[in-house]
Amino acid sequence: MKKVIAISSQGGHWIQLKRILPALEKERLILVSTFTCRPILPNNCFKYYSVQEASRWNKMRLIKQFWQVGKIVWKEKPNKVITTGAAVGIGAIIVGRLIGAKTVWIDSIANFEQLSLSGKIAKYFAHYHLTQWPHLEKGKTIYKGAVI
Amino acid sequence: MIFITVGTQAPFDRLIELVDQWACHSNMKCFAQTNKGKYIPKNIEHKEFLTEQEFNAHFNEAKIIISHAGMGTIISSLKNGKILLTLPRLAEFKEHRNDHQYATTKAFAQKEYIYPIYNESDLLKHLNKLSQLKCLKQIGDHADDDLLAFIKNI
Repeated sequence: MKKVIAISSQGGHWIQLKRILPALEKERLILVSTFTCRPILPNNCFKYYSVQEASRWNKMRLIKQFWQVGKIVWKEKPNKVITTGAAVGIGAIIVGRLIGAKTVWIDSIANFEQLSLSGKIAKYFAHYHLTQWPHLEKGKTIYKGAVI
Repeated sequence: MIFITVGTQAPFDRLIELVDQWACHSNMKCFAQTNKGKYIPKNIEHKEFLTEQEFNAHFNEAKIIISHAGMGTIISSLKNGKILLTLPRLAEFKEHRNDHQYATTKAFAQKEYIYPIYNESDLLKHLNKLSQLKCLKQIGDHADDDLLAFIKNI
């Protein structure tokens, strides 16, 4: 059984993340998100961590969030890291790579005209970089389907 | 019942005001989650924030959802067979940092998943023929099989 960290911010990113979890049914699943109240967790979730909510407008929170996420990934040493964004996924991908995990970025389906800012940054670090719109495929960014 | 929601990140007065103005002439039951907007609705029940339980209760009761073009609301509505009308947040009114909600709305309207609203007349056009509206597309519980298979095999 592989250990997988699936991580996203709360809201739409989380709803998209939950829709890919059936692919991880056989793995030891660890979920990470930014809720202040513990969310309703799927049955196959083994452990849940909450981290600081942050956006690009608040650099201090972003740093705190990055640190918290990094520590979790470092401690858990997953085989795979999967994220649907946003900023919270970048730290997980970077530290995931450092510890030798396979890393997957799935850009939100909300990004129809171009990749998200976080997605553009994550492209440098993730092993697999996915868009949910075929017309946004370019170079390393590939389309393998969507969450709906 | 119509449930109006603007999400948890920012208020969206333009949407709340549009629906509130319409509700003045209608006896349809409405409930709005307003997220600390400056505009206080006069004709509809409202609350700034809802707990997950409260949100689910209103969401489940509603036949029609009117919302910003946030993916959370869009996916939940399509999954639960709701009639969905979305008004995109625009950067020019400082409703979001950019216009990606406009692009999302256009994309999902083109695929005939939602009823797009770009202004008051769009909203009135749809709300004045409520009985003809339907859930345009119902989606399943999870991502499409290709994506799941790809993730499984990594």
